[in-house]
Amino acid sequence: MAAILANLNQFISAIAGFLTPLALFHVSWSTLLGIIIGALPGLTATMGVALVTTLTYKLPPDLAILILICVYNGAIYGGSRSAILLNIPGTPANAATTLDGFPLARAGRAGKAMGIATSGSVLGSLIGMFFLATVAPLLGNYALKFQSFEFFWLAIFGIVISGHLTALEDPMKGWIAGFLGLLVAMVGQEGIHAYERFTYGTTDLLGGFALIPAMVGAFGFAEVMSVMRSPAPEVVQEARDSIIPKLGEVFRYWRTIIRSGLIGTIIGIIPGVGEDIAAWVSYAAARRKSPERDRFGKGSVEGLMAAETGNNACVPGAIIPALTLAIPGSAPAAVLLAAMFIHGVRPGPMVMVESPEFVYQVVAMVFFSTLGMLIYGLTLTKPLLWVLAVPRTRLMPVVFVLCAIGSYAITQRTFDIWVMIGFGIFGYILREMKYPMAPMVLGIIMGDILDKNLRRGLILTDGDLTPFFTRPISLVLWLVTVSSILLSIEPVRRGAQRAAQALRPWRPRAGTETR
Amino acid sequence: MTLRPGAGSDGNPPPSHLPPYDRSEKTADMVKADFLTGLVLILLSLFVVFESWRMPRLEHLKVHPLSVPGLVPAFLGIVIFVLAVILVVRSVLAGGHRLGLSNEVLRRLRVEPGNRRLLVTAVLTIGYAGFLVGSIPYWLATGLFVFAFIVIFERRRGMTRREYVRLGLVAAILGAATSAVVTWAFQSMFLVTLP
Amino acid sequence: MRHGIVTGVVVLALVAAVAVAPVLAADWKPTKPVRVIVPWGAGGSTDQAIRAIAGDLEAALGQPIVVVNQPGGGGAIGTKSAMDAPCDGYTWASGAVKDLGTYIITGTLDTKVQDWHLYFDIANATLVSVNPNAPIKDFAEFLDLMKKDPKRLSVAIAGIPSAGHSAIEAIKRAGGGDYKLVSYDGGNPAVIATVAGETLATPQLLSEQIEMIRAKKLRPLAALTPEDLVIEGFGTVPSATKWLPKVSAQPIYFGIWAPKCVPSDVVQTMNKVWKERIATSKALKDYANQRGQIVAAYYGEEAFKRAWPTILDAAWGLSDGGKAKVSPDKVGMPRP
Repeated sequence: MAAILANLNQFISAIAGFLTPLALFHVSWSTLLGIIIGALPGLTATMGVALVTTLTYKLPPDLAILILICVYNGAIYGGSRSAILLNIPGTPANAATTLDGFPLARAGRAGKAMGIATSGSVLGSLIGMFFLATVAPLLGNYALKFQSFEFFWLAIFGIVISGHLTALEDPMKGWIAGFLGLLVAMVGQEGIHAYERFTYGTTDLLGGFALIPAMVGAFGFAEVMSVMRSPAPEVVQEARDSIIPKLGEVFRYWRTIIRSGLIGTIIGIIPGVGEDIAAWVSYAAARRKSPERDRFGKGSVEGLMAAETGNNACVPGAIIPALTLAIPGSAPAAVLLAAMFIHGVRPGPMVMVESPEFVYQVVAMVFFSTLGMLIYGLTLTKPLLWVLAVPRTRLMPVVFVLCAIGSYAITQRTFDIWVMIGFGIFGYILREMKYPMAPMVLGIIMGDILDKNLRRGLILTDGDLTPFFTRPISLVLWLVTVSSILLSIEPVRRGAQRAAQALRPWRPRAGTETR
Repeated sequence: MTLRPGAGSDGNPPPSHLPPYDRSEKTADMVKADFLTGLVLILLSLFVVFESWRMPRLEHLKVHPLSVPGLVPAFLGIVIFVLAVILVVRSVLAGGHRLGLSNEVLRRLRVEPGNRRLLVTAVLTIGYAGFLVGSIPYWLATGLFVFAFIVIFERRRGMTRREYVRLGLVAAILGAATSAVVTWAFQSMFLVTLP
Repeated sequence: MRHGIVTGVVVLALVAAVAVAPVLAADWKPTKPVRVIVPWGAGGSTDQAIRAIAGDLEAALGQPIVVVNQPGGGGAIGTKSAMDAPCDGYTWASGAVKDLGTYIITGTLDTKVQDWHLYFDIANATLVSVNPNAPIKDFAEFLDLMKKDPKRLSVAIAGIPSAGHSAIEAIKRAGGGDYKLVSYDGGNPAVIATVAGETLATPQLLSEQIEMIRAKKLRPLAALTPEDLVIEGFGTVPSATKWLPKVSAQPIYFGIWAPKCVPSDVVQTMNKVWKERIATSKALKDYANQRGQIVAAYYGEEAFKRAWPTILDAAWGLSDGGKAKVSPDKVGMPRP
């Protein structure tokens, strides 16, 4: 108890330290910039943080890192805007947000959807911040339990779950999309022996297909084509609903919020997997537990809440190992860590010993960025609704211009524009045949992880497969994966339900809350 | 406008307790599409497995035999093969192999207004991003693209001269504004060297 | 000028930079931002080494320095796009110079180190460390294990090519025996794997290991440096030459470079900037001290002379390891 009070004390003094006009000014512009970067398809949080690092060389370290954290947190949140309004995830972290956000917007409830996304992001960020402040060092050490075997299963688990969730009527198509994504990731120089796979002598393909152009193509360009082909313009409706979410409605989902916040934080702590996967896993968990699970994918407030809470909780989560072990928990956190080094701050295992006040400063920075997010989230929503009223013949060319420049901007290669176009066409065809795009994008992210960790694990064990099945975390991951596949096969599921009923005859049927 | 008002009829997938196929005409098309995709996927997976088999085993480097580059692609190829076979079998059971492609069907596809809009969109977008960008200044390419897109899709038969001027003006303003804002933001704010 | 104008807006940063620029009245005055392509991911060793001098370069050239990360292909993709860019001094490549020198050996790019103007800023040592619980007391026991039971000796490196790979291959050449090579996605993941106990040892860069060494989560055995290595906040690590007098113990040089076709005023200005600004940069010095690196502000002929032995070493390491497509002596690289 005394320890918590001491923590609180340090936290408050860190907050007070940033209550200067200059610091608040930096918070306000950098959070806004982060939201804009996140909302523009193709510009990611990683790129935003790397870009703004260039602008902060001359600033004192505390302000520089404050700015970077605001950009990071803002970008992850900002991506929900384009996900809800345009069905294009602004950053890979918002792919799960499109599933329920866009249907809500189409049903004329865009204001509500954005309000829910705002509250989810803010609450997720606060939950992550709580863990950052209280248990950072303990959680940091836990990150090392994830080794090659666990990463392998995490990749398989991710593809199977996301394939299932995004194609509920026909999970087969979700899995096909996911495995095609994994296959796409095989192109390029592989990470163990540096052999060039499927490149056929082209230097441009050495690095494989980059994620961002592929994602922008599969979601953005494909969306442009599908909107232009559809017989009628998207039904434009006034957002009659209030933008400010009702507190009662938000807290009805307190279980989902806390669960997603926890999942997001933990995924954040695991090195190498970031906000995108955090959103997926919390979305999956929410659906599993939800009484309204049938509404998921068709405009479920709870699903939207889970995805947005999960990805923002991941931000402070990813900062935890960066601070306490100098191991970044996600790609943007890697850039943040580098920026800390450049500014002469020394995160790592010694930080709690040498400069514990810095940890609380970072907590305060997360707090300020969350505050900025909340304020902009509530004020910026109304103007954004105009987007829905623009006729498609005028909106779509602008969206496509952004898709093209967004694909190009990250590495500044025209090759990436062609990648965007290729994946747009490929994605459009698959979409028309009801293959979901999200598992494919996740596959592109996970392909590399799967490939290297499987083979690395096999090198380490000299070909012995047992550790893949017996290590505790691996065991849980593969059991969940296999049961998820089995339960999606109709006869097996019915059998399982019958068995469950036979065992617990006094309980109501599966599908309702039984706790 | 070439657009007709009214809500689209799609977007209502069958409830989740039904098996993958119901009996509507739309589903009949999907069954056929699944049959063709399945065949394409089978070919693709066989190609991948074959290529994986051809990848070097690096024996001279004495690497671990289970760490060869072809291992994971081969594994993925096999998984996709299995999934594709299920897809094909499922679709054949529903009659998907009877494609019934006639000239009449193909002609209908060609003149369907949605498909024509799709074709125009594809030509415009790919022409812009793939060829125009990089060969003329970025701001000019972007302005032209937005202008052309709006004019082509919003023009109708029987428009008066004044309406044409109006449309041209709107398109020109939007094109110029988009081009100016995007060029400024990416060049000056995000410091991107534009193509 | 540190706190007064810090508004973070590009324009103002630019004004500030221009205000400092006249101190160095040089011939080449860039009129638009200068791009440095880092052919590795953001936050890696190269990225940090370049960003550490970006502030000084900005001040000296009066234009923003834009760091563009183009990872992939072991640095080949980013280097190639610098080669393809207009040769006007506005696009630079960067990295570890031994990689630049060996693309021709691995067959990934047709370029030699002699085709570039080199500007180094930092040198980084490699050292062999083990997990603290590993049953290896000192470097002698490590070498012993290489000879007796190489299957048990799992060594984490950042891939091929990488600083760690060159280092462990150099040790293998001098000391004999073998080891179990385990590749990771980069230097930091390789170090983490050793800390976590997935692998027994790592021969990666000091900058990647230093925090873990200070926190006693890694135990350093020997450094591949000519003399013993002093790590601030830890102590002294003996040089590997104590056990293997013939082992090649070269540091890894990081820096930026442009193709030789750039205009001569660019070269002259950069030479001047390097001599007057980078060599004396406080930001660079602080960064180097903190990350256990050495300031190495060499350019031109001097840079080449220092880099050449490390390139020969890396090239023959690749060749002996069976990773070369072109034999080094065919392209003017004699066996050291």
